[in-house]
Amino acid sequence: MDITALVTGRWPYLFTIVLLLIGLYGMLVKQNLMKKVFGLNIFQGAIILFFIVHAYKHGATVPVLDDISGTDPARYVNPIPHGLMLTAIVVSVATTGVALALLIRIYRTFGTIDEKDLLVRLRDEDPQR
Amino acid sequence: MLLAAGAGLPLYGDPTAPASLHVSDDYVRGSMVDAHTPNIVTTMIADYRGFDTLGETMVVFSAGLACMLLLRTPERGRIPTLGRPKGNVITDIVTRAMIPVIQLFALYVVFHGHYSPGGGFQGGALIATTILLARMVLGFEHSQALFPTALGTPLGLAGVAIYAGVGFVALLFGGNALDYSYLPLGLPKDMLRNWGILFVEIGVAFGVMGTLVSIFDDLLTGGRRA
Amino acid sequence: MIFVLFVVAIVAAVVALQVTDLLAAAALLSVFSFVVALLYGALGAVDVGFNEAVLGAGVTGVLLVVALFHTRRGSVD
Repeated sequence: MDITALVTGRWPYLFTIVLLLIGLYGMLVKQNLMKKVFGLNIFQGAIILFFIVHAYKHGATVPVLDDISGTDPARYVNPIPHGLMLTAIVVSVATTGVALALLIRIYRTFGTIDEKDLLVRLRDEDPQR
Repeated sequence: MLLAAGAGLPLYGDPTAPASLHVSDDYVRGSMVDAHTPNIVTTMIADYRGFDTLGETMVVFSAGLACMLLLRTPERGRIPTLGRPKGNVITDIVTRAMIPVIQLFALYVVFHGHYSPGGGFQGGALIATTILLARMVLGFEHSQALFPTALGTPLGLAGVAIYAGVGFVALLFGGNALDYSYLPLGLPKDMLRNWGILFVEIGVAFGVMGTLVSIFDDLLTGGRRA
Repeated sequence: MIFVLFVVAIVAAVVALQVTDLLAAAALLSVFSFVVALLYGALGAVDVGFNEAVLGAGVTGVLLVVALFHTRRGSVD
């Protein structure tokens, strides 16, 4: 647990971890189901940021081959995490769409999207819970 | 607490010796030689790791199907306020002027994805945003002439079919599936892979566009008809 | 530069979760997506930044607003 090593050389990782924790807080603590979906989006953004920070190199440029840098791999940012994260972003949009469809169904069936109210109404409907 | 302990582990911060040296160097060196494509990320997702992108297109399409199954009911309902035409002249005219420009730019992004950042995902999403803009400003009914709601899911399916079809054609002509150098186009090997990447990006653009419009239409009407 | 973008992103995320009006929270989430897209661009990932700007700030924001017009707009938090 070396905090000085974390802060001096690796400060983007620290901020990414803070964003991860904010997203996780949003998903677990907030009662409104829509706020949980917001927390999910923040969490996904932070995870993708974590991978992109891994791929960065000092003094390197965008991973499109050009005549100035030739084919020297040390002059280009590592392109493998970029490719993985492109699909991750599109999948996150699709997941958010399905989550919102679920929310609309829940609202139509129970009349609320608040977690405490929802549990009360579920308990009223089925007295065994 | 947990993450503070795990934070001691990642060894490289911003002043970075490269983290993954081995495969990444091969991709950087091989992109122009193997596929005649300067954009390394496009070569990577469409050629070197093409199966991943095929799986991802299928995932997006099945998310569109899931939305459809969750929401659609045969009962009729009104169109909500967001889908009614706004009577405002300024937004009307600006939207009508901007939609063709954005679509032209989206086509440029799809076809120029070999040489600059871009490709299928970005272009498909941009065309989907023009249709979303039309649905919100011009009204749900009037924008059916631009893109009918019933066309959304079949177009997504067509995108997945184009991608899988290219892979299958490569299989028919003697190579491994999704190995573009076996497509029957009569070009040298690296140009074949260039064209294979283009076909696949067009398939991805269709898939993403159809699915995003289908999800938006389901959420806007709440699944009810008319 | 990257430091400033990180700070703005963290502030936008925290405020988006604390506000009780869900429409304002959806707008703040669009701001968060846009700042994170700038961050990806600043770290050299231009493809990923383009994608996040179009999909995160555009499509996800619109989908959230459309969905919240079918449910309730205020929240107890």
